[in-house]
Amino acid sequence: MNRLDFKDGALTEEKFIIGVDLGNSRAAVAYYDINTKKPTVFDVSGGYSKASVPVAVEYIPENDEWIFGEYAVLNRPVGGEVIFEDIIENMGEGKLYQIGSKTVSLCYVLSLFLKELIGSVKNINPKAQICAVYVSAPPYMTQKAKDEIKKAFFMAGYENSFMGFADERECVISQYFESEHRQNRLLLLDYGERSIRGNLFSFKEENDKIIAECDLSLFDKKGGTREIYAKLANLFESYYIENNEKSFLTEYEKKEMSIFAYEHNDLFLNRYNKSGIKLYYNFCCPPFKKVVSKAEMDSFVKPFELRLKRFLKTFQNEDCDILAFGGGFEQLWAKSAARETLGDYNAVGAAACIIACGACIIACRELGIVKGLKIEIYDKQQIKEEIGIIVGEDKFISLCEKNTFWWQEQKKKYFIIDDSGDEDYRLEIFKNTKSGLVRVSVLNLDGLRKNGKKTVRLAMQIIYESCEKAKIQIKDIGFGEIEKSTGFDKSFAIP
Amino acid sequence: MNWEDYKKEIEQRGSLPEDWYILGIDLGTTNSIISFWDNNSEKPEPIDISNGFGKIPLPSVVQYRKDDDESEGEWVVGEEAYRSMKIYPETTIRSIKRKMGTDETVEIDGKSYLPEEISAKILSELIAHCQSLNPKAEIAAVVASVPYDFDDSAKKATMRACELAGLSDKLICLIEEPKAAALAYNFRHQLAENEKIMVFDFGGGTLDITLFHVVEKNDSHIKLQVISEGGEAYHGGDNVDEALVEKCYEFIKNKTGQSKDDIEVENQVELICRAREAKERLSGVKSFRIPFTFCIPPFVEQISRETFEELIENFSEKTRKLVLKALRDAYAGALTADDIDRVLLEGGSSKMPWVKEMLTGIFNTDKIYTSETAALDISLGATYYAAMKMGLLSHPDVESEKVNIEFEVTVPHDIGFEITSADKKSFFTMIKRGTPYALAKKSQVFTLSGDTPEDMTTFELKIMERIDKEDKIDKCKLIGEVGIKGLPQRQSGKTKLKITLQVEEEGGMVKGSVEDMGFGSEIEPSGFKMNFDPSRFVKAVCENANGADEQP
Repeated sequence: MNRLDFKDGALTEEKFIIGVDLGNSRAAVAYYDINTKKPTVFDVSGGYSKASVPVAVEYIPENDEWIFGEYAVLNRPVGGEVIFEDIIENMGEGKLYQIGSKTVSLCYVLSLFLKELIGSVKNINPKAQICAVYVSAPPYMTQKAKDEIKKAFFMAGYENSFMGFADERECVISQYFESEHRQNRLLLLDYGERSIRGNLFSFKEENDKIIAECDLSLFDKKGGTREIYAKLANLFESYYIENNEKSFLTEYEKKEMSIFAYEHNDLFLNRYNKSGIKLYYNFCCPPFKKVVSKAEMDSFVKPFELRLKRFLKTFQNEDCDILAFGGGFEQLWAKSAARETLGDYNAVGAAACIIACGACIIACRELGIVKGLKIEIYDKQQIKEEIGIIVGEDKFISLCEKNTFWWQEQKKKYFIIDDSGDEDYRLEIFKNTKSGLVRVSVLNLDGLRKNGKKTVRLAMQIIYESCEKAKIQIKDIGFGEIEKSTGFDKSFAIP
Repeated sequence: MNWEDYKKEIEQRGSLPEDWYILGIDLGTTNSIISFWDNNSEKPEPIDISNGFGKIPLPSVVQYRKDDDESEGEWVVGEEAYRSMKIYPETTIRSIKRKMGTDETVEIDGKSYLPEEISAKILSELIAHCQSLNPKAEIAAVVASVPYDFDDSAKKATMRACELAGLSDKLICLIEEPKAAALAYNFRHQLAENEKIMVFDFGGGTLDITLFHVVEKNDSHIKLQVISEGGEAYHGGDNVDEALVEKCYEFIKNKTGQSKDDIEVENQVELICRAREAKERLSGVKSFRIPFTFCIPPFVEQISRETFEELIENFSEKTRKLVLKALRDAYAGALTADDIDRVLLEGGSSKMPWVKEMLTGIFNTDKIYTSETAALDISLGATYYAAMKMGLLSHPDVESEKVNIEFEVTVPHDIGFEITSADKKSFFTMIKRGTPYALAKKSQVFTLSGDTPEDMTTFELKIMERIDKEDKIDKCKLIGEVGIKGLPQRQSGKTKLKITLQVEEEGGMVKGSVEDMGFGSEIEPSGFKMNFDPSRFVKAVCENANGADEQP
């Protein structure tokens, strides 16, 4: 079964079209419900817990067993177990791991997770056929990472149903366009694990698509929930240490503390408005209770609250609809901070799920199951034209990643220069435009040593100062012990 | 206003006001859930009572805290009570549903509490969460669920709990859990005509196995008939926990020599929590380490899924037999596993891998369906039912909601009297198990005898329920005693009494009436006719105020 089978438009209860929100910390799946004719979140827990699952995989050598999601998080390693977290963040690097006598790639580990995650749809319908899968990706995800994720889907057995990636923002906007009441301007606020992002879009219909143009974009690189959770874990640990008058934690205590923190993060951050909370340290002997007053919780949250408010103030006077999503906005204090700064906004329930639902809608739209125009995002903050050099005869090598944001750090690339000629060093810089390669600059690299041994090694990096202004940094990094660096280190503006 | 007044008002207004709430409550052994009818989406929505925990169900745990003799005690219900069980082990009550309908009281701070009084605290907490969702919330109507296999006393205890929680005039009826689950499932899926569905609802306390047959289906109507009912009221995840706790005691005995009696109460509670954790984790991993930190010396014991499954072998075998029995009971044994189109798994205990394996062994793999919202279905189904009763159910976008749903549910146990003949007591069946509720009304004429005419004026009736077909009278459960007074004074054998028993279609409660029929053409009926509502606590009295004035 694959996506092409939908040409006749015949969708049954057994044919599943799914959208996957594959985040770095949690993943969610939505499927198209033919009864309600809407994307529906597939709640892996069956309503007992959260609909999304932690993106975590653990290998237990003792039983040669792989475990996934919450089971992996709660079963913290104490022996030879290997736990994989931050899987998505590490995609595109071709990472390999030694598991016993075998070498496995991170891509393979992800494929196991995907098999388990998507395969669990069979629980709700044992005759389920996964016919089409659309996957969300953050706009800054590199092509290499996408390629590796795609490979993981193929390895998991979804090569016929995998349709492609959709920008997370496109997913959310697609879901927004499903609602009857919508404005021409929309602010997307994403309070994720790593960062807080704000994108203000305006929409216009053009031929057979909707152009969503990003007018304003803001990014707080270090404002994500990960930092809050890390500080909270330290706080929980300090209460434990204080009660038990300890100076250090044993391995067992560390393991229990990490589970305790995982289980209590939400309790602490989401009950913030109540008059204090009680924490029960049941795992220790004797067990004890720690009462955390509202004042203590207030002071813990304060710096994060100020940071969020500062971020949101930029958008304060915009006349638009607001969609707030991402795990951070599930926290009560964050919800109140957003309301205080922006007034009533359109809070979207389970953060992970709006993206999965949107991905599902995109899949259905492409298959002709639901009507609706394609959303095309135009964001001038994203790099649309690659900048690079030509090596050999005509091989273009890009020095920046297409579609990444200008504020993202571009990776350094290393080249060994053929210095056998007599002429001065000249480096031609090209832009890869829609109409082909265009030479934009010729750099004079005077000052570099020549010895004809191909031992001049240069590090090159594109640095963007704004979406329209970039420079290239070129540094002689020497050739090990044989040829020391000349100290050449220059930057050149790129027109 | 009672729920009927609200219904009239809604009919007059033509819509449900925003602050009026129509609720469905699943009062479970381990977890309880409350859902409300969302007027905007026109479907039931669960109320997230976790305060952001991400877990919708409220643990059915009730705790009493009192720091010293001077202070006033405090009742804590739900997640907080569950998490602090170890700190307040002696005053934390779990799984109270298993005691519903019994006289087993819980002693707390010098007071005795009946199971329904404890359940009422869970209900009150659920209602409080509804009110925190909307401070202006006005409860208009409620449907609460009970296991199919609950006996009459347990159902009445549930009604009483609702009364104590202030819901007496808001409670429309009780609904059998499998019926609620089937109702919720039907709204998400299109069941086909002639389809036979087994709802396997395996909760913390109860296993309900119900076989539904879609006997009629057209564009506007669907009729689901219960063709078999099985399971057991006291067979659930708690039994598995108990087996694991016993194993833990064995580990302790082997390692430290301590027996159960040597272990402090808080550590016994710790073991209960650890056993439950082990059970849950073993659903996802093949082995789990149970830490015994309170023991001297502390130790860790590893338990594998295999060992765990061996430990509960008798329990799982019994579960398998209950499935086969439910299958056999349908259409007098004419059905085989191949005839079942889908087996729908509901309830938290269904998550244990052996459950699916066991069912796969009986049915095919491609017949085992897990509900998308297994934890919430009963509460959602109860809300659908409440909305149906309030005349609100119609969703233009949802195919299945255009359809009128009819259930034909049958009586789960035999209902009758205790009779004495030649000094031997026996059970006299009035309503047989398997009788559809709609037909569950039966009258029987008895001839009264007595030593004196005075004796003929009173009569004692013991209404009983036979849970298992083979049970003798001493194993039957008492529904209630009825004292009939004020019958006419007649000679022995000259009074015929017509006794009628009926099982109410909604909720399955037993009610009855008694009528003096006179004695053929010889003696005219006196006009004595009274209804009774039997209860296990209070003897119902049917007394004719003008009685005993007829002379033989």
